[in-house]
Amino acid sequence: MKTVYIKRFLMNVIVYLTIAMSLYYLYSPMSNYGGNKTSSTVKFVYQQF
Amino acid sequence: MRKLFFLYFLPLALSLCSIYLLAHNVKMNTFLFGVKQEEALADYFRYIPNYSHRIAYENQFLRSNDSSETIYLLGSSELTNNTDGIPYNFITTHFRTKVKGLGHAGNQCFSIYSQLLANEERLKDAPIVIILSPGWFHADAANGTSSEVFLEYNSERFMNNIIRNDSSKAFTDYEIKSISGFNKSYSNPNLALKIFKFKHLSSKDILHTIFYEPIIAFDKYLLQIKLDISNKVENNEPKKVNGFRKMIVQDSIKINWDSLEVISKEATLANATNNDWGIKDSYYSQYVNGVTRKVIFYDTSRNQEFKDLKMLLNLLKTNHANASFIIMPLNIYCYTNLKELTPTINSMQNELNTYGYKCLNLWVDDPAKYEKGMLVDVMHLSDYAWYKVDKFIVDTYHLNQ
Repeated sequence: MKTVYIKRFLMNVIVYLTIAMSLYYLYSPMSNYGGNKTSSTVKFVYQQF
Repeated sequence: MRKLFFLYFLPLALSLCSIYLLAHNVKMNTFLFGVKQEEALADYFRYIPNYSHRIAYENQFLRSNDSSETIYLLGSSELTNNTDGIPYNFITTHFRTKVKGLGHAGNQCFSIYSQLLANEERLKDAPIVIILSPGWFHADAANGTSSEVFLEYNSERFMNNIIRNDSSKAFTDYEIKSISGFNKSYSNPNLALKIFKFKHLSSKDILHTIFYEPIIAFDKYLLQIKLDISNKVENNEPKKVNGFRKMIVQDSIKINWDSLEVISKEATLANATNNDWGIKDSYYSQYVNGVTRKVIFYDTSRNQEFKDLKMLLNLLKTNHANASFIIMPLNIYCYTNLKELTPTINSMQNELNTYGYKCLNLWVDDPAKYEKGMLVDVMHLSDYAWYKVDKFIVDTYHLNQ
């Protein structure tokens, strides 16, 4: 029974850690993943000509 | 209960602790996000079109060199013509006081205003020359700085500075109001932009204030955490610098301005042989070919760019910046109704006079007074005109004895 608990404990540690790391990877201040970068949908067009 | 703690709470606590340690580990962050330490940049640059979101460039903004004072030349597309006569080349080569140019197309009044507001503590006595292009005040450009250009010049670091600086309420309110106008065009706005947005909404009435103030406070808390992390990883700990200014040293250089102007005017006109408008051949055949244009005039009361200019002047004056201005001309043969823009130019000049700022006004709306060779195309200065600007800067800032 103890072995089962230890296995589940280790499994939960791995799952929680993976979720936490994924969230950190996606939402860290340094993350450039996907749409994490602020941008403008209105493009500046230089109208010299 | 013990089972619950052992199987769920303990793994959760362990993962949270691990993430906390990870977030503060520079090596791990560098590995995960590929954050590169900025390579050492030359202490001195003459011209950059923008900061390229590089901390080293942002840190240099409005600061003197190690050995001499630096004049900042801020403007838009005209600065991209990297010629011998342009001040960041001519003055930098000949004088101990240096000139740094910053800007390219679209860097209009509000963009400059925000950059200066973010670095307000550096403004006192800062020698700044701003080139005002008439193109900013007509047609679509009169609606003010575009959101894309604003983001290009005003990094999240600059916006954080504005949030954390103890600036006058009038200046921050103007910033908040103007940025809120961009909100619809931002995708995935950063925390600083969100705070500006919430501040704008909060200012509507008391109910909005009650609702948004806690959100603003929480976002500021998050922003602080974010800064703590990114500062460590990007090695961007704010450096306290005592005194941004140095004395302007007067040199004893004999410069024959008349000769420079004559030679450069001849050289400019020698390249304008396929037209009578004084425009460089290649430009004329590619973009003009005899086709005239009209300026699209907005009354100053409806001209957002003009409102931004007034606020920029107010910011400079309040912070005792040592500013001066250049008003550029347009090609009078290409733009056939320049007189319609003259009231706007006069209003600009009046504002500058009100604040007591020196200005080199090169605006001409009379064909009899227009000098061919001032511009290389329809709106960008030739070396002939740049030497006039050089002389203005040398005289205004007393660079020569």
